[in-house]
Amino acid sequence: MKADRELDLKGEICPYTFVKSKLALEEIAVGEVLRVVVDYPPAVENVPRSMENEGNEVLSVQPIGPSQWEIMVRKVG
Amino acid sequence: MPHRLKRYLGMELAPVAVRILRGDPAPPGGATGSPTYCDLVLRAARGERFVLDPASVRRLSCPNPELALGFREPRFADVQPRIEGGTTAVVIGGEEADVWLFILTPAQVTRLATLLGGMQVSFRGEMAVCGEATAQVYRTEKANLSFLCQGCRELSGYRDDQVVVGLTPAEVAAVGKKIEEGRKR
Amino acid sequence: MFTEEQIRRYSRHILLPEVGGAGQRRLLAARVLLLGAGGLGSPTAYYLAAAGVGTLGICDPDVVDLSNLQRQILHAEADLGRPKVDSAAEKLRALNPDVRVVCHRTGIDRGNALDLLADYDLVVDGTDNFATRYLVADACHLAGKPLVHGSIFRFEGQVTVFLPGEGPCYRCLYPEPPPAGLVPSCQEAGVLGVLPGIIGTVQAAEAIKLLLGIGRPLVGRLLTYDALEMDFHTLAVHRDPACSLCGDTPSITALGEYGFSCEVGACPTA
Repeated sequence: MKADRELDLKGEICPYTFVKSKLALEEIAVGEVLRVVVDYPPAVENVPRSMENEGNEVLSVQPIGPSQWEIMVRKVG
Repeated sequence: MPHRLKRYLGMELAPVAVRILRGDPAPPGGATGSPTYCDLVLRAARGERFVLDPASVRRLSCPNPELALGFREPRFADVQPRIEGGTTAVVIGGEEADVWLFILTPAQVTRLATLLGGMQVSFRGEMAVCGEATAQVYRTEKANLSFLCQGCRELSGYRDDQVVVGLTPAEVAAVGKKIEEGRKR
Repeated sequence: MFTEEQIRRYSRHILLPEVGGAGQRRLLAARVLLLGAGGLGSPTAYYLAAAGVGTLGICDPDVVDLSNLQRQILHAEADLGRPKVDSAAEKLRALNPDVRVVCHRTGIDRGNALDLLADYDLVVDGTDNFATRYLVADACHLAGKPLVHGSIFRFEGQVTVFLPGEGPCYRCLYPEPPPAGLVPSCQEAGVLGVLPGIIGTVQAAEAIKLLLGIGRPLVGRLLTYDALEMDFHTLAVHRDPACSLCGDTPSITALGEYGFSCEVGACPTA
């Protein structure tokens, strides 16, 4: 799957994982896909949940390395 | 008992009872707005009472407690400490407790630790008040200390010199008894 | 795109669903003209600068006087004798380098009013005399600029918002200026120092709401505050179809003479 926008959140912790992913989603168009990379374990659960709570669609969450995950989200609203 | 401990330690804020309901229906009056769990604990320490049900926990501005308190299971990566899924409601404040939360200064933790006969603490600064101080104490039935997490430090109203200790009701009773005996001597 | 510093500076705004990144960008792109860097203008300017309003024009002809320091919190003892616009600009730039502060070291008059307003999206009135208030109200209406009005007197203050084409204007509220001599000047009347802090802060909140397009602004409503009673009231104000400025057949179509003024000298800022 191809992402329309990439966001590297390695080294970021709460609340900036949320603030930055929220900003990145605001900056893409409805229907576009954002790829977020995180290395902060709670963010693997948190970032998708916050994005769902704001009405977006979480397409996948996958480990891509030791303690690194990729989150794919489609902007809905 | 928790109030005896409050006097003994010279606590500024009241101990907060946290009741974790598993399977029982949620009491009415789910918390409104989008505070954090840490905020609600701080407000409960000043006398308020809140109910978190599945709807109100989703409205919190921090998504950690939903996972840590067992309202849902993790989907993508296990995150600890947490209570297994199956929680139907959490009541913060009031008198009935599965876990007592104490908002303390480090100096007060020193005195409390002595009363407890020592503490084996475990914290990493993530999922702190909800995980380290509530969920872990509930699961292990052992006191724990949390230095809070970055989000809580930034978004909630805790002072830098405030930390949170979670105690089981049995530990609170035992410590209360020790204080009582100490007075008699 | 926000810089790393901006994300941290404005994170508490960005977290609010009603503001978010989009709202913060609107604030950064907004241009607000503050009339007066005095009692009302001080808190308004501080909060608008802190909020990241990108361009703040400050219009004030005066220099800082010792008697100002009881309420005009932008200025300090070291600023005595300095132009208020310079003192204000220094404080605001120190607070937030994102803000472009434009100094207009002049009073507003019929000759420069429309030119001054042209560069701004919104005007906050922190002036303290009837002549200027009528001039500002007329000019904002003619130029189609939203105006956040505030005024203070002894222990009482009021705030309202005038949106051209929606709701009443200043002349619907007060059709004619009071006769000269009937209204005590600011020097004669005195004012509780904290009062402009409260009223100016309400003006800042209204300005930010208007810039973001959120909430219900004080359009057609006059908020009054009494510090002695500690009482806020909101009164409904209606547009007057016979109003000389915004009525169905207005007689004021250009800026006129505003001869009436404060009795004792000029006191352009509250």
